[in-house]
Amino acid sequence: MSYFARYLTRRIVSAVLLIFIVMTLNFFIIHSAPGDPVTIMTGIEQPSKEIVETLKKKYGLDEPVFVQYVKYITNLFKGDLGYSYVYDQSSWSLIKERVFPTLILTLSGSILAFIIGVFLAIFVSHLKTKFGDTIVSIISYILYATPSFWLGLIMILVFSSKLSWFPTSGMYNLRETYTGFKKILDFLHHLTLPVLTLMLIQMPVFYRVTRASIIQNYKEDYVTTLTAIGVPKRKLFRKYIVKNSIIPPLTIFGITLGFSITGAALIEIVFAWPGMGRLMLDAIFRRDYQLLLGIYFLMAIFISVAMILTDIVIAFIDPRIRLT
Amino acid sequence: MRKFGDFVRRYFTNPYGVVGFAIFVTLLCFAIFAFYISPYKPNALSEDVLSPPSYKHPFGTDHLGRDIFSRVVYGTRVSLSVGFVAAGISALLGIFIGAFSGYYGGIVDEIVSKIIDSFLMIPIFFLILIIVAIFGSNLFYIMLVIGLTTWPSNARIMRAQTLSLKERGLVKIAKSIGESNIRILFSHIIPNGMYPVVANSALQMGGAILTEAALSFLGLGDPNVTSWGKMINEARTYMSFAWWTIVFPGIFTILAVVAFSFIGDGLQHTLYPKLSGVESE
Amino acid sequence: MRKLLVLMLVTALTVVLTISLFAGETPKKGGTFIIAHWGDPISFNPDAKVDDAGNGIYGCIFSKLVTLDADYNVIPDLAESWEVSDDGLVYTFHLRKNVKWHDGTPFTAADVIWTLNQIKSHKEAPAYRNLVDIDTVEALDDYTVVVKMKKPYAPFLGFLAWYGTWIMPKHLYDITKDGSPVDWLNNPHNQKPVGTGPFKFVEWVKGDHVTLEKNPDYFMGEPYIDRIIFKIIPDENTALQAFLNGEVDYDGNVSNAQVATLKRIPGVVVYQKPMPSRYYMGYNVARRESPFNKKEVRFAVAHALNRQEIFKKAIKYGKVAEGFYTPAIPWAYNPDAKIPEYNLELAEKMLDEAGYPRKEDGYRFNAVLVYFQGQEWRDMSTIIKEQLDKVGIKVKLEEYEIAAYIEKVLKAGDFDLTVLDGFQGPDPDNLKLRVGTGGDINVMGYSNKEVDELLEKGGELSDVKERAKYYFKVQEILAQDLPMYPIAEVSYSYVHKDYVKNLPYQLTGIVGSTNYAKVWLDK
Repeated sequence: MSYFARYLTRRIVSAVLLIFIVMTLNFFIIHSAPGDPVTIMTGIEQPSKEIVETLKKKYGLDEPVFVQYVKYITNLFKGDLGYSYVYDQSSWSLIKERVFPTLILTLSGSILAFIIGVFLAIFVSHLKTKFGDTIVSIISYILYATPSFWLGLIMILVFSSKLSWFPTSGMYNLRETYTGFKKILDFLHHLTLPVLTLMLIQMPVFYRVTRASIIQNYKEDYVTTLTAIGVPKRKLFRKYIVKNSIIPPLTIFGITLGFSITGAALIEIVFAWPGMGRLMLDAIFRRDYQLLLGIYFLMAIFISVAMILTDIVIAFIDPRIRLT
Repeated sequence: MRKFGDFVRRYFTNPYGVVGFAIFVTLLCFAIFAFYISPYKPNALSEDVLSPPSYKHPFGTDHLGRDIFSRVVYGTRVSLSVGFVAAGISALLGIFIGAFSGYYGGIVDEIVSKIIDSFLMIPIFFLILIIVAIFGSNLFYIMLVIGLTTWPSNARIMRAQTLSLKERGLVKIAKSIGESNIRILFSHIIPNGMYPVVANSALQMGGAILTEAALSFLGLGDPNVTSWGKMINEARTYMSFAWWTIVFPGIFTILAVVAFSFIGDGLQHTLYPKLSGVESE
Repeated sequence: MRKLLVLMLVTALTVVLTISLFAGETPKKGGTFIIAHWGDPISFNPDAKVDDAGNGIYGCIFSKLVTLDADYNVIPDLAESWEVSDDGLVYTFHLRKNVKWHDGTPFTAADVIWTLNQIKSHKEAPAYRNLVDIDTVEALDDYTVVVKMKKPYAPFLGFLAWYGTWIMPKHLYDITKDGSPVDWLNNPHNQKPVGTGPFKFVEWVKGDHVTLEKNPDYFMGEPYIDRIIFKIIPDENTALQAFLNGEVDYDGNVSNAQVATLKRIPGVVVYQKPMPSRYYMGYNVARRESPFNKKEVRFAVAHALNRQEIFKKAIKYGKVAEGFYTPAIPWAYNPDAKIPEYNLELAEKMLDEAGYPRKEDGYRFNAVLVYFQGQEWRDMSTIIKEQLDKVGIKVKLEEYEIAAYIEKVLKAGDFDLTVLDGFQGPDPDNLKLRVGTGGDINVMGYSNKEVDELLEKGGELSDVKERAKYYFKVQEILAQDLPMYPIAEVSYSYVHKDYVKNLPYQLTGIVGSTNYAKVWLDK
């Protein structure tokens, strides 16, 4: 167990260091973008020099960038994700309101994409003819090549506008005040198209990687050996091939999970889904530095955790892989 | 030279590779001969606003009366350039950084690996967004930025290749006869190890095209050029009653990215024939 | 006997007919009114920050002393009447009695005084500069407020009614915590507002919606509808889809491009109204070196532009501009100050004479046209580029998101041409910002002493006819100097389902432009 503990510590330290570098990089890049939150707040209709000066002073934006940086990093280590100038609230309070909708969307989408992609690959490998593989492959190439926002728009056009099967946007039907079970159903109804879009976009990668992995595994020496010994094909497939083939897609799934905070930004915009994607985009356009950095920070943590977890899960499945 | 001939021959046995290449060549012709193929100038305004596909306008017209077919054809130039330049920059950077880092090893390698890993943690797309906002939405900058943010995957591949090539007999011999490191890198390691990067680059070209489309969707594309992504963005308002404005640019985008994916896979299979062939039990 | 019966019958019939005549339009009670709103509010503190998205919602929660109706007339709100002294220095407002805050506390002059003083003492408040000429604000009694000005300022009432002057509850904002006053930016009621408006705040799910319910004690009468929900849909195409699918009753995120589709759909009302805002192209007159520093070049380019074409293709609704102010404020509009007409030959000649002949490649010079995101701006700029291409000017387009645009155009003046629009009301005094020397939105860098003096004088006088003379002269000078090229007058489209009645634009003179107090749903 101490080996594991050492591994874990090493990974965590490494992750912390990485996060620190990333945050520093992000900080300076964001601050070098033209415009600042205060100037944008005053807008273009009635801009006022007085407003700008007063607010800048209030938020400490008139101090040199490096001083701001030091202040920010110190706060970060105290667990303070910063303060949004635009909304006059702590970044965390803004983020936590939007995290849930995004996570529901991206986690459902990714999990479904993973399951369907992997199962399709396994299923196709069972078929006698090449036909199934070709059809599914071509479909997956096309889906992979489709811009996510374009697919979302087409979904709305077909399923909302023409067929009226699903609502266009938002999370709930605001006209009715459902409670309990009905509310959940309504929510799922609104969730369907965005999740479907996300799933279709992500599925191809899982399919292809799993398929390639299965094919490659078949060429491995151990397969020849086991077949020679007389292990039945079915058992060979289930016990060995599948277990080994699942590792590459799992790795990718881990990375995808890591990005689940902002992974669906374009889809959120098309479907007016009140998640992190829109928050982030607005933060960029309004130069809400601290909010933006807060989001990046959360994402960096997410990714690090996701990667470590993935490594652990994979090691669990296949003890051959050493945790170096 | 013989190796190259073999390579090409093997490539064309792969059906995906062939189809991908065919589509690519078609698009390339569109791009090069755009002037001769398009019936109208892409920016020519007319009074035929939002008219459906017809003999006069095979893909219909957009909200300013511009012929969509001509715009799609000219758009090929933008997409192919974005793909090539961005992926090219990414490949060059990736190859050199990966090779040098893998070869020399040591602390430089550690640092480079950390940098590669940290790139994984930055939401690349949003990084591109911010940078485009700084330098402006000029097409060249967009290509540059995409290239500068996607090299890590190439570097990783090259580095792995370098590490394995380093131990090969050829390199050891070269070292023993006193060849300088630089020579070894440039004559042995890079030329032998870069092929997977080339295959990866084909995929990256598709990715670059999609990134440009997403940037245009958010309004950050270059307003002076006709790109498919920009066409899709402008068509959103009219799509409910003028489907041709959004469908054709979308189809071509998918076509181009599919072509590059096919080519990438074709290259992959040519390089590693062990992986090719479909097996059922 | 028979005559009596006939008389009774006729009377009865008349009564029945009369009742049925009025019954057709008796407002029905109940229902939820859902509006597609274009942006998420920043907070519900209506006066502390510029919050355009929030402003569209404040009208239901808060009230002002006086407010603007949909025609930009000043109408009573919390002040039921007022007087202005002859010298223009003293304004006396008589407040409504028996008005209550949503939490039951009575509304008094103390709230007005607190609010106005708060704005006056906070430079960052958006309405600060509009109230900067106020000397003192005092209560004569609980329902009378006296405002003394430092100098006469005719547009004062208009600015008081315009933005950032919502009356806030003193008893909830003038508080201390642990001995020190709570900053109004950090007050918890910024998230749970309490106002005097027709609707009470229920909930705000950030990024998704804001729910309000009716205030039965509203001083203009209990609203007919039970609830209003502002559904936040920043993307106009998504808003359109939601509206077409019946998910919202009112589309508050409409662009001109969608109007044509909307007009064709049965059951949808599209009401278009000219706004005192205009689209114009600004030349770089003095911000940096540019061919447009020269007046001749500006005129030449004006002759090369065809604003009819720009209007037809890119803007479509409203009117082509003919003058240098907005005709939506008719008393100040000078119809004789005209914009140069489309004349390609003249344009070419003038460019040659100005010292910019065509070079070998056919082009005379390059120009950078900067604009911010949005389909209309993109289209307008594309058309301008094509039009100027014909006379040998090579235009390079640069599109920026709003933050970068402000930096580039407003702050740095780094452009040759730019297109923008701007609200020119409610008072022509606003022109100071756009064409006055050093004006905050004077992107052109235009400076003309005579114009400055005329604008200054116009703002001091109070008689509309007298003021008009000065503003007319300003427009004459603008027509001679041509620091900008007006393109079109903006028309705003109100889009809603036909069962929504009594919207503010239908009740001018009665309710404020964002006040849905009288709305009812006929279904």
